[in-house]
Amino acid sequence: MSSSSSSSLPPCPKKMITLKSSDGETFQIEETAALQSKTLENMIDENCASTPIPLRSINGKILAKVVEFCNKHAEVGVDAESLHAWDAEFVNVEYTTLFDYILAANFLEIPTLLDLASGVVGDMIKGKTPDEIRKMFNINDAFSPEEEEEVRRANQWAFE
Amino acid sequence: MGRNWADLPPELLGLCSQDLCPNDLSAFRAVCHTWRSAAVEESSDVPWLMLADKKGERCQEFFCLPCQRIHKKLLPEVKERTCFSSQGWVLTIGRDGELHMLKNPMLRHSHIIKLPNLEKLPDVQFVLTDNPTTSVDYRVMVIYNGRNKGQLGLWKPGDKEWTEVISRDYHFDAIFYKGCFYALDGIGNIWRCNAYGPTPFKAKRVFTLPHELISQKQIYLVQSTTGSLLVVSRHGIFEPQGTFQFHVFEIDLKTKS
Repeated sequence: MSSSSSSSLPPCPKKMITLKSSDGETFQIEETAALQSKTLENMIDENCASTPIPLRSINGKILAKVVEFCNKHAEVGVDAESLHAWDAEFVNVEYTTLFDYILAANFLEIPTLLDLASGVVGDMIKGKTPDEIRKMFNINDAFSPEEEEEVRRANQWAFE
Repeated sequence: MGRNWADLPPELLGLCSQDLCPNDLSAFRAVCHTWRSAAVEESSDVPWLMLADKKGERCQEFFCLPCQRIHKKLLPEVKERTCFSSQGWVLTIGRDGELHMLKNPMLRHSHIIKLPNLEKLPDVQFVLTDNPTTSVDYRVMVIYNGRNKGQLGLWKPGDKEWTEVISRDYHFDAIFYKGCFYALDGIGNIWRCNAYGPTPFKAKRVFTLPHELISQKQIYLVQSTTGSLLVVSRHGIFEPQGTFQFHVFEIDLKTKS
């Protein structure tokens, strides 16, 4: 068999890439962990990852957490149960942070994080009335009374 | 940066709403404009179990599988009626023998189709060939107790009466499979009724199940997700300890095996 596959070569030093947050903080992340992000994967594939990658829409606090998430999910030998528990703890955060996770996961295209964070939002909505949901997420863009009535009629039993 | 949940991009809001049950989804839609337009379409393939009428309860109760809760809805159309379902429609039978077909009973003022009364009521099965919302050329089959128990009745839009299908009696299950109705009688014969053919009122025997397969068992006709016709036999239904075993057989109507 030919030995062109990388697994048969001696291990090369861990390749790191550098991410730069909107507020100028830099973070090192292993290339293997960064591959969870499709956006970063594309940049690595196109050799655009040799210089720090600026992420203008993600601040340092959130980027630190996202790097932590990618590292955890790239770890080998973590059993599903403990990863699940870790994930649950990871998204046990304030709504504003959850909001930032969703945007960051979307921008970086990290499906595991996006599903996790949006799933938590869904879980929080379960069993709530529209009013409770508006209060919870601080949404003021309410309907006009006419629209309210229309929605009420269309979705009669969301209010029961 | 202010975080306005109303301004989250629609595709991300859609993601947040994708695992919600119909009940929660309607609450989601009622939150604000963006949430309303961003919510995913309600999927109709989520099963809801309609619970039996409760004394003194005005609303009908449903058990929602996705969220594992009980939802209530005021549904005078199904109250105190016997219900069957097929193709997402519900057949309701009143005490007076009135028959109605309801599209999605969850939606108020939903489409209701009145069927001719049956003096003797269907008691086992209701089968639709097609969804009346999308097709005008659908057929309805019921197993009802007429002159004999377990007769097959056929109806198509425009008919004033039910057509009695000539076959053996004592049918206890029916299915619409690959363009024809198939019904199972009490001695293990499977009858085919081509509801769209020239003689829809005549059923033809196409298969006989071995006696040992059916004796003392409840038998069901089922179509598998891969398109095979299956016979499921439920053991122990007539015994005090109840159901203890199911056997599943695949039927090949061509080779009769």
